[in-house]
Amino acid sequence: MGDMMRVENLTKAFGGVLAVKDVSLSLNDGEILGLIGPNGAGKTTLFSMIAGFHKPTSGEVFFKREKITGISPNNACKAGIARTFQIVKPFGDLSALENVMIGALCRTNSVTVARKRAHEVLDFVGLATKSDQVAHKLTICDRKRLEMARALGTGPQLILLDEVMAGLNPTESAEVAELVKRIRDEMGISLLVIEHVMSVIMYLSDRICVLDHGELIATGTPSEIVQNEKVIKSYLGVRRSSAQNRSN
Amino acid sequence: MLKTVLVLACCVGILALPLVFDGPYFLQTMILIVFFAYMSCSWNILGGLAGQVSLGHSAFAGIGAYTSTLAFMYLGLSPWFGMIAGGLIAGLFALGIGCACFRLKGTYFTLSTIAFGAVLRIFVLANNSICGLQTRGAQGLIVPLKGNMPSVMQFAGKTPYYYLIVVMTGMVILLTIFIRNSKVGYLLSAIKANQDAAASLGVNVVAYKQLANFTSAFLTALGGTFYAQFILYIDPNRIFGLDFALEFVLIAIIGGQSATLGPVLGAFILVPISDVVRAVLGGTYPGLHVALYGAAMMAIIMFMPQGLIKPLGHLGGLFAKQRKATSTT
Amino acid sequence: MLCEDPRSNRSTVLELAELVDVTIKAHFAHWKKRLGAAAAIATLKFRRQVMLSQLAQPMISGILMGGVYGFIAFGLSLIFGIMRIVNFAHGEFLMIGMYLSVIFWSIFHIDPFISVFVIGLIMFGCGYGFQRIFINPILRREKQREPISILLFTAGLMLFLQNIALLIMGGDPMSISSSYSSLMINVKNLVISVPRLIVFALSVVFSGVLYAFISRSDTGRAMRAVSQDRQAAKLMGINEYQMFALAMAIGLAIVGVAGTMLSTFFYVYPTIGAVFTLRSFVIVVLGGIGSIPGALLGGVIVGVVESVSAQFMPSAYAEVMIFIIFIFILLVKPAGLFGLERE
Repeated sequence: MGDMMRVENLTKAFGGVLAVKDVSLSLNDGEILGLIGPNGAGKTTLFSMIAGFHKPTSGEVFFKREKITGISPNNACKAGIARTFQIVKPFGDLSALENVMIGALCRTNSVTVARKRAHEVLDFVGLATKSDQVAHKLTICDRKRLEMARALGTGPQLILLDEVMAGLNPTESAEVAELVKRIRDEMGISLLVIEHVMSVIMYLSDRICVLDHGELIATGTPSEIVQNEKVIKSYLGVRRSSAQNRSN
Repeated sequence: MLKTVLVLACCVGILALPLVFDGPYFLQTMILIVFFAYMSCSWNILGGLAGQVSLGHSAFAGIGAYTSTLAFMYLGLSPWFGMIAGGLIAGLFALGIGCACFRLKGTYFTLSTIAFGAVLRIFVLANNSICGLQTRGAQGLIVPLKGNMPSVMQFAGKTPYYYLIVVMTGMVILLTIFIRNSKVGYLLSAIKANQDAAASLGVNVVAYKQLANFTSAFLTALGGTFYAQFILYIDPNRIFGLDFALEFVLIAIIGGQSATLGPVLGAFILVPISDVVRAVLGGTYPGLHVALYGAAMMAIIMFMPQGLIKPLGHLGGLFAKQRKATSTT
Repeated sequence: MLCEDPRSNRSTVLELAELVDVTIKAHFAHWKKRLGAAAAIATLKFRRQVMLSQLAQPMISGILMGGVYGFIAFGLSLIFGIMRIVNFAHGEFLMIGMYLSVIFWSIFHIDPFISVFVIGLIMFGCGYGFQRIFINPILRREKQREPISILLFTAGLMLFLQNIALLIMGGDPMSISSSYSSLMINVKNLVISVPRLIVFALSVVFSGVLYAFISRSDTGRAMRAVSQDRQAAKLMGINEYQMFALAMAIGLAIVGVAGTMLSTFFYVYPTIGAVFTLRSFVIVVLGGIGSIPGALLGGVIVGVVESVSAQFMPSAYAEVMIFIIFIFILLVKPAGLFGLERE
C-alpha cells in the first residue's frame, strides 16, 4: 500500500486556523486517486504540502517510500512529482512549446533535446498545431491542456491535478478526462486529482478520498463513497426524493 | 541571408569608425554612447533576462572603479587585473544582496537595491579611507596619470579607448545571445514570467537568479573600471548615485529590455540627444536633458512597452530564438 | 553649563559652591585630593542632566516631524496598498504642493493654512486625472503581471517633475516668511516651533479623518476590499479602476496638503521631494501597508531616529540609520509592524 506516495498525519496550521488536520492517505503505483470535498476543505493545501510549496506543521510525506517532508518545490519536481495550479499559471509571453520546454529542461541540459520532448508532449495532449502560439492568447481549455503538458514535460511519476476541469464546458471536460486517463494508461503515471465535477471523478478514479474541514472523512471506491452517509451529508447532498417527501 | 550581411556591415562600420571620423569630440561622444550601451546591456542580464529590476547597479560600477584604482595606487596592480578583482568583489556584494533580498517580491527587491546603493554611497562619501587605504572621501579619487602606458590601461588619444569599450560591449552582447539560447536563458525567462510556476517545474529559482545577479554585477564593475580609466577621476557622488543607476535602467527599458540589442539602441538614441541638449540648451535650461529622459521613459511605457527596438522585430534579438507567434502589445 | 531646569541649576550651583568652599578652606595637601573628587562628582551629575535634556529636545522635534512623515507616508501606503504600485514620484507631488503654496503666498498673499484647502482640492483632481489618464491604461494592459512598469513609469515621472520644477522655478531655495514663521513656545526646558506644532496637529487630525473615512464609509470599505482581493471585489460590483483613481486622488491630496503645510517652515527647492519619498517608503514598509496607525507610528519612529541620530553622529550617518532600519525590516518582517502577512 502506498508504494507511490503516502502522507501520514499531515497537519497544516496557518496562524490559528487548521487547514489540514491529521490526514493520512496513500496512493499506489498506477492509481488514480480522487480527492473531493467542499471548498475550503484543505485539498489544495494538501497538494501544496506534497509538492513542497508549504511545509507541514506536523506529519510526514513519503514519495516512493522515501521521506520528502518539507522538500522544496523544485526538488519535488526533480524527484518526480509534478503539479498543476487551480488558476493556471502559464508563462504568458512564451510560446506553448517554450512553456513545455521549461519543464523538459529539468531532465536535460540540451535545448535541442528539450525542444524535441516538448513537441512530443504537445502532440500527446493535442496542442501540436498551437505549439508556436503565445501562451496568453490560448483559450482556457488549451491553457489547461498546456498546464498538463508542462507537468508531463518534466517526466514525472506522479501528477497532482488541481481542479483541471474548472471553467470547461461538458465537451471540453470529457476531452480532458480522456486525456487524464491516457496519461495513466499510456504513460503509467499515477495521479492525484482534485475535482468538483462528480461525473468526471467517478469516471476517472480508482479510489476516492473525501476531505471536509481539513479532515479525512472517508476513503473508498467510487461506489462506496457515493453511498457513504457522512459524505452525503457534508458534500454530495441529500437525494431530491426525500426532500420532496418532506414537503408533501 | 540579409540578417548576416546586415550584422557584418554594422560590425565593420563600428570598427572602422575612428578611421573615418577622428575628431576628438566625436570620438568622445561615441565612447560614451558605447559605454552606456555596455552598462545597460550588463544591467539587462539581471533586469531583462531574469526580470529583476535593480536600481542600485551604480554601486557595482563604483566598486569596480574604486577597487581597480585603489589597487593601482597602493598596490601597484595594473587596472587590467584590478578590473577583474573589482568584478569579483562586486559579484560577491551582489550575491550577498541577493541572498538577503531575492525572496522578497519584485517591488520590495527593487526598493532594497536602492537602499543598498544609498548606504554604500553614503559610506564612501563619509569616510576618508576604505580598509586603511586613503580615498579622500567626497573629493573622489584621481587616477595617477601615466600617459601612454597600455599595460596600465592608459592610452594616448581616444581611439584605443573606443576599441576597448567596443570589444567589451561586443563580448556582453555575445554573452547575452549565448545565454538566451541556452538552458539558462529559458529558465530565466520562466522565472521572469512566473516564479512559482517555474519552481513547480523543477527550476531552482534562487540559484538562477543569483547566477544572473553575479554576472550582471561583475560586468558592471568592469565598466566602472573602464570609466575610471577613461575619465581619470572618480566622483563618488556620480558613480554611486541613483541618477547614474537610473540612466542604465532608462536606456535599457526605452531601448527594449526583452531584446539583446535593445539597450544598445537605447544608448545610441538617448545618449547623443542628452549630450546635444545639455551642450546647446544646458546653460539656459539646466536639467532639461534629464526631464527628457523622464518623459521618454513615460512615453515608452505608455505607448511602446517593448521598447524602441520592437519595430525592428527579429533583428533586435539577433540570433536569439525565433518566435513565429504574434508578440504581445 | 547651566541647563534649563531650575532645580538642577540649583544643585549644580551648590556643587560649585562646595567646590569653591573646599578650595578656600582646605590645606594644600588635602586641597588637591578633595578638589579632584568634588570636581569629578560635579562633572558626572552635570553630564547626566545634560544627556537627558539633550535627548528630550530632539525627541520632541522628531515626534513633531514624524507625525507629518506619517501623514505623507499614509498617502503612499494607500496607493501601494490598493494598487500594489510603487509611486516614486510621491515626493515630487509634495514638492509641487510646496511650490503651489509658495506661489499662492507670493502672488496672491494667501496664507498657507488657508490655501491648503484649495491646493488639496487641486491635487485631488490632479491625482484622479493622473490615474485615469496615465496609470489605469497601463494597469489594464498589465493585468496579469506585477506592475514593474508602473514603478519605472513613476521613476521617469520623478525625474521629469524634478527637472521641470528646476526649469520653471529655478534652483534657489524659496521660503515663506509669515508672522508666525519663527514663533516659538517654551515648555519646561524645551523649545517648540509653533508652525511645526500646528502642522503636526493638523497632520494628526487629517489622518484621523481619513481613518474614519476608510474604516466607516462605504467607499472606504470598497477601497479596502479592492486592496485585499481584487477579483472578489470586482465580483461584488466594485469598479476597481474607480477605486484606484480615488486612492490616487486621496494620496496626492494628502501630499498636496502636507506640502502646503510644510512650506511654512521648510525651504522649497526642486529636489526636496526625494528626501520625503525615501522616508515614506521606509515608513510604509516599517508600519505595514495600508495601516494608518502603522504609518503614523512608523513616521514617529523614523522622525525620532532621524532627530536623535543627528545629535550623536554626522548627519550623513543619520541618513544611513534610516536605510538600515529599512533593510532590517525588509529582511525580518516585510509585512511591517501592523501589516497583514499576505501571500
